[in-house]
Amino acid sequence: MKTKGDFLGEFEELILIAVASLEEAYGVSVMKYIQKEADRSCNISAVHEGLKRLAKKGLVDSKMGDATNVRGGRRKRQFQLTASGSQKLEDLIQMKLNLYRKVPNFNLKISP
Amino acid sequence: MSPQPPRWLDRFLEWYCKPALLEEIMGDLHELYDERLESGEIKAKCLYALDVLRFFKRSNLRFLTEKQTGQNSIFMFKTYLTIAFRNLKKNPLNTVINVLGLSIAVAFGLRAYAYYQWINRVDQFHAHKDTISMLTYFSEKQGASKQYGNPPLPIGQFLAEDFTEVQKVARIENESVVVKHRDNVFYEQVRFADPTYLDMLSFPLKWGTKESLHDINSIIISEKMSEKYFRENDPRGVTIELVFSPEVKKAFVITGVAAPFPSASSMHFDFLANFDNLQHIKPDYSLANWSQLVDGMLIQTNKSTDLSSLEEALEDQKATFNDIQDELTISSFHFEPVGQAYRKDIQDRFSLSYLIDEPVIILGTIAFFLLLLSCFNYANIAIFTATRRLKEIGLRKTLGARRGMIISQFLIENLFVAAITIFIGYVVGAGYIVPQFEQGIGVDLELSLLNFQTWVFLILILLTITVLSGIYPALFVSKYETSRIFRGNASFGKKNVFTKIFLSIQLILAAITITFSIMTIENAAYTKDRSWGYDHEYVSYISVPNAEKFESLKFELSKLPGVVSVAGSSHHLGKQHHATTIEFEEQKLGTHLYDIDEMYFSVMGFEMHQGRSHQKNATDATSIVVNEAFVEATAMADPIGQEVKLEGSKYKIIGVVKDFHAYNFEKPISPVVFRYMAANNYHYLAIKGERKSDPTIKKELKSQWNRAFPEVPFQGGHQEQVWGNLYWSRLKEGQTFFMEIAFISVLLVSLGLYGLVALNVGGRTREFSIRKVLGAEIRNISKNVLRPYTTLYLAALLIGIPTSYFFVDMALGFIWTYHVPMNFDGIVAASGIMIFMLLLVVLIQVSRVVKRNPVVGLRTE
Repeated sequence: MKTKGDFLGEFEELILIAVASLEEAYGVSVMKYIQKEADRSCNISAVHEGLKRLAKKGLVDSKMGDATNVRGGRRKRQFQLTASGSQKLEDLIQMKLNLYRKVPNFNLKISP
Repeated sequence: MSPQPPRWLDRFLEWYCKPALLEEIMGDLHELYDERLESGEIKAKCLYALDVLRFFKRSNLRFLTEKQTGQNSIFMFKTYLTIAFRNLKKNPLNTVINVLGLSIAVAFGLRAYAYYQWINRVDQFHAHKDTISMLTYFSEKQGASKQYGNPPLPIGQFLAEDFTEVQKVARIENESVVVKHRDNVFYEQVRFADPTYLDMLSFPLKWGTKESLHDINSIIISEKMSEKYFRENDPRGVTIELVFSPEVKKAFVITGVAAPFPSASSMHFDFLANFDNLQHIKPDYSLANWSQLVDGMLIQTNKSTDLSSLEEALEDQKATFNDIQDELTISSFHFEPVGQAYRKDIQDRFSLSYLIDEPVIILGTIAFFLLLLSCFNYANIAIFTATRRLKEIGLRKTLGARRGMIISQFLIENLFVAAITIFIGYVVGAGYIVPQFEQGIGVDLELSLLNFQTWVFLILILLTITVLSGIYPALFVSKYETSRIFRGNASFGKKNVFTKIFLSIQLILAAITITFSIMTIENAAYTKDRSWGYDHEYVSYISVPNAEKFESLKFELSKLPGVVSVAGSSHHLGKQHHATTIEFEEQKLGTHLYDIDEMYFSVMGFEMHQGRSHQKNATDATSIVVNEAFVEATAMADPIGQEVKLEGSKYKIIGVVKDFHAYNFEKPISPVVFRYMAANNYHYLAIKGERKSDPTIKKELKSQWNRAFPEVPFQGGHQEQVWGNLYWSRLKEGQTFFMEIAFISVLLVSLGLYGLVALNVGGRTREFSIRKVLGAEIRNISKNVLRPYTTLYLAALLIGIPTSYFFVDMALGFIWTYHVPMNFDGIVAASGIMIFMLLLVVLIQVSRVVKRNPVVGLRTE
């Protein structure tokens, strides 16, 4: 699949953050995280698509979890950040902070 | 266990999803579903379905390889649709012509489909239909072997007792009986059958139990009859009286009411009573009588039973039957599965109700005709409009579009139009055309979108329309080379050979339908005036229920004012005959026998071909009069004085009567024999009046009847009505039906022609403007507009006239047994209408050209 360079889209970024912060990151939990924390509606198919792209870019990797009782015995695909994934996240946030700081007359209420 | 998501959705997901992704996707979906159950099951299911659909995207599909998933062709489809929509909006006239024409065709196709489906559903609802079959036999009459549905009665007992594989046998006999309940007296059809009838066939009861049929005194009635006699009350326990003849009456207790019968049923009943009643009611009805035929016989066997071995076992019984009587020779027995019996051409199938199944082919042909006409309209107009879009196509090609892509673009536009058409066609068809047809034939066809097959049909017709109307224009348009388009010398559609062929075919089809409908109108007049072969307008008749009162009634009637003479007979034209076999030399000939008195011929007003009719003397008791058809069938050189054998005795032919129609014009004239019979067994009185269809005679007949038989409904009337209103109304319906079709096809063709001429003139705006500036008159312009069509029209007429003549002549013979002889009226009128149509269309366009300011015309692009 062709990707738009190595840049992350806004939704992909959200997913990446979700994967970073969740203990057990898989389709449903990521979707709920985004719905709750970022307060935006998204559907499960879009989340799967985003995760697939992140995996393609090498930012997350995944493995199949153990069998469960709740979902008809089906396993979950659990995602976690790769080294380059956490590097990317750090870079992103750093870059954004740097950019925001250069905005004149903009008082960013954020602790560094 | 908590409710699961719909299984079919899971299956759909399993079907399209890449196996590697299936587990996680389905797992996530099920997890979400379980959570959503808290806010309602329906909501959870809907959201589940939505999510399954959302996963249906390229990256998840297992059919696509890695490379294909990269192309964004779905997005392209969206663009195609936008362009299609814009094009439709740009040419509202063409859009209306196309959509209107195709929708009408779809609506008529839907009618053919609904009827076909209904015919295929008849009797398929019986749960045991695979193990039930109807006993039929083959017999030869006049050289042709035909299948009959009324086997000898004792075979039923034989089958039930001697064969272990035959589980159940049901004998069926229908009787026309007077039913009396309080003051209500009606003639009704009562079916007498063995109680197994209700076990074998799936006719559930609304009230009561089917076991009650075992009681010889009980009767089960249909829902319709229950409503007729008792409204919505439960009639169980009510006693009704059945009057078989003035001497034989019997009271029955209603013990059950059948649930409403499915509309696609041919074996239902109005009244159902135990078969054993017949032995008590009819003194000569013996179960062991081999020459007694029964109206129908059904058997139920084990699933594995080989019916052909049963048929072989019946071979011996065939001999028994053939020996005992000599009217009918059985050549073989055949078990017909109950689900197919109604569609077979079985004679004397009294256990099945009458069904019309010939129109399937007519309805289908008509729908196909209309579809063809409107598809040609579409193709013609599409070719023409496409030439205006050459630049668009050139541009697309320059940007790298291959030919296939352009073809698919045009086909998708077509699909879009076809989808609109299907929608409108369905609304029109299901809302108007089908209900109107249902009213005509009197059954509910049960057309429904809930039926899976309806969808298959609609999708099939969608694809047919798309391909039939779109493939040629798409190929034609995509063929142009870019360089030629931009150089501006690509030839335009008006020179296209296919357009001309399409238009000619349309014109020929229109010529056929117009000719046909005009011949239909002529046929109506012809049928009305066609002679019945006797003075049917002067004759009235009554059928006398009681032989004792016959003579006195005859005497009373002959004294009435306005009555010329009265005749008695055992049978009567149009009401009853006796089917029998005549032996002449080596031949055996099936004939209709009428037993009459010496006055019958003069009352009916037959015309003698040669010889004389019967006189009142003893020698004439052994003489017969035959009709011309009889002479023709036996190929007698000189019929007068010939001896024939009839029911074991010898008779001499004393006269030949000219052919006449005993039954309606749909029935071919069969060989007829009149036999002189003394007055001991007369049922009919024929009365000749002074004036045609005299209403006072009918009134008098009724009042005489009421005095003589106050308890029996009046049976009689003018001879003109003997064929029944149904025949005449069906004849009339047929005529309006074909008129409608002709009107619609003319409408379609003229719409198409109008579209074509309008496009042609529109494309030549500049040319006409220059002509006008240079001083062209109306005549000159009209000539120029007309020119491309004159040769085409001449060619179409040249082919169309002989084709119509041949085709219509064939169709008339196919639909009506006796019809108006083919003539040229229809063809002349058709040519006239078509030429008028062309002139009108040209006139409208010319007047537009004339009115338009040439400067405006020159300024347009």
